[in-house]
Amino acid sequence: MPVQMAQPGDEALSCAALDREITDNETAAAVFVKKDKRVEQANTAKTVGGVIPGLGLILVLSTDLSNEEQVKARALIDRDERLRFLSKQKGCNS
Amino acid sequence: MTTTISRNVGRAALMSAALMGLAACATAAKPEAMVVVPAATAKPFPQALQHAMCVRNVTGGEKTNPLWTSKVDNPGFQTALTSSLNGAGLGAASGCSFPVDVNLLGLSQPFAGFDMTVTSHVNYKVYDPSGKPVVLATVDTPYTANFSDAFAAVERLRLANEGSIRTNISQFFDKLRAADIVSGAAAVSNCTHEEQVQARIAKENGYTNGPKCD
Repeated sequence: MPVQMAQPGDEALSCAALDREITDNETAAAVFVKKDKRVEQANTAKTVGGVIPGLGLILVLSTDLSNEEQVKARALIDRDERLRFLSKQKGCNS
Repeated sequence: MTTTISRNVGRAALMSAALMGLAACATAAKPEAMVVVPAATAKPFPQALQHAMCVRNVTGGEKTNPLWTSKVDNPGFQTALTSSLNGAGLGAASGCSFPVDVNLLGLSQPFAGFDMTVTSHVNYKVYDPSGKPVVLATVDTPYTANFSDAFAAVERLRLANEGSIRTNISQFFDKLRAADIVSGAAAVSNCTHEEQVQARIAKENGYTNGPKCD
């Protein structure tokens, strides 16, 4: 499941806590984007390998269409948008 | 002899079934199949949202490759959500006060199977006239299309996509119904949310010394 954009207790976060979570999310999102690219490359390879008699079907059936990494990365980016809004509202970094 | 003919017919039927399942081209989710029709008994939406909403941006959708799997694209989702908002009496004819931005985070799809479950992950962001987000909802909804819904796998996957998005929009509507949105006018005032609530309670009870948010 992706991270929720708005979470209970968000309004109470301090500037330091907001900054920390934004940074952590950016790092985690970058990792997920990299993983997502690897899954896509593997899927392409499996599709190409699908022409191999016998093994091909197994390869094609193991294609990963869960989009798990993509969903998680995009959710973290949106979560950061929410946290940045709160940070601005609180007058952090000003 | 009869047994051999039966076997051959059986094999031919199996081969045909497999080919029909595999050979069909994937098509994109149909917007009209993703439209939500609110139930007559459903809880009403906040007054401020009535005829005041529009879909401003939809991002994250994917175009369908006919040789690959069915997807949901941005224009298709935008059409479905706009029609759903209009059907629920939320769509603004002109002058949209509460724009909605949508981020289609992604669809979790199976590659094959008799029962195909697709889970859609969508972020909805509703802003008030001042640009402040009033509803931020992350909605994840699974939907299963089974063998009786469609014989061809690509067709079944499309139905699962459409069902998942339909359920997703429906749950977004539930979140809108539960949202505490006072009014467009209050939303642009300088009052905090708490002050707006206090002002509304004061007004409802005839008090004159509540916060002035109008």
